[in-house]
Amino acid sequence: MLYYAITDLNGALQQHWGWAITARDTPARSAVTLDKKERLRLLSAINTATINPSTPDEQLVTAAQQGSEAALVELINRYQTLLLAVARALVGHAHAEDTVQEAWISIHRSLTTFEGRSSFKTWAARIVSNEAKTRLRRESRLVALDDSELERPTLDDNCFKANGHWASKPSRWHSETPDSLLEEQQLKRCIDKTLTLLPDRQKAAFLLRDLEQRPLDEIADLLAISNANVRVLLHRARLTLLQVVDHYQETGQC
Amino acid sequence: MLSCRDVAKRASDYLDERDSPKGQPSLQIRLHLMLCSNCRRFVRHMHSARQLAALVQRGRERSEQGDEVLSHIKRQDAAPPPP
Repeated sequence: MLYYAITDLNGALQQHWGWAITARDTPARSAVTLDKKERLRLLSAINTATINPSTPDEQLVTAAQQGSEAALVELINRYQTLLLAVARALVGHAHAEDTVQEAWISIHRSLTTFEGRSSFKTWAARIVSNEAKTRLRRESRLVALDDSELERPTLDDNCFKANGHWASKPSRWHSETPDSLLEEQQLKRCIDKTLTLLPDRQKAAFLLRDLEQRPLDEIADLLAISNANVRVLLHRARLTLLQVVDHYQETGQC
Repeated sequence: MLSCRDVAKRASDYLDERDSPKGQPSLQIRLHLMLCSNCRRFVRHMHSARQLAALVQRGRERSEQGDEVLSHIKRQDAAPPPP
């Protein structure tokens, strides 16, 4: 390693990562400066050591912008599931993987222009959504919402009297807090299975809203549906999940 | 006055409106919930179920496709531009 180049790099490292290379890491001094390519290679190698699943997105994006492949791989591992869910909601299972792969190429190419005005995952989800919409237009493929998905479902009519009041009270749960429910391994498996089986649009709406806390208007835009339809999809997904927990509380089974 | 069936139909919207910084659940629903313990329980259960599902999903959120996708990106970058 070359002393002056590392001294130069330390400013950037301290700014972005909160640490810098110490004298112990610099075996020899030299007045020769590193060219840009070598600086990036060095920075990339340094960054690799600090990247792990808890590294904040901002640091990963900065490292990826500077050429760190490890940072890019971590971003992909972190957001591939979400991006696939968005793509499936728009183009279906058969084309989702290709759509997301193409989107990652676009993300990689435009990464240097990403300025962090929105979060990385919002930006990436928008690129996937645009890629999917372009594909639909190119293939003249309209994927209309199934009418049955647009109806707002309610509980079984037997739950209510003719005047609309509860015929039988909602059942009492043994425990109600999410953390205590999570301790029940069988219930966890039931929910896991239900999430796998949720229709694509319901799944995407659920992930974007209840996991990522995105606003309804943004979800509507990403999934190319109306705000009212997003609310119906959310209602359906949540009602399904509630009924799974309800059934488990009554029977101890999925 | 809304019926319990109406409130059950709007429970999901109520949760979004309640959670939104700008949103305000409708007065009709809030009034109904003040008076009806069954609907309060239903809404509470829906809230717990979605939070539980979010926790379960978070545990399985991580993909391991990073290296595969990176190889694809590199292949594309190395490919000659179309004529």
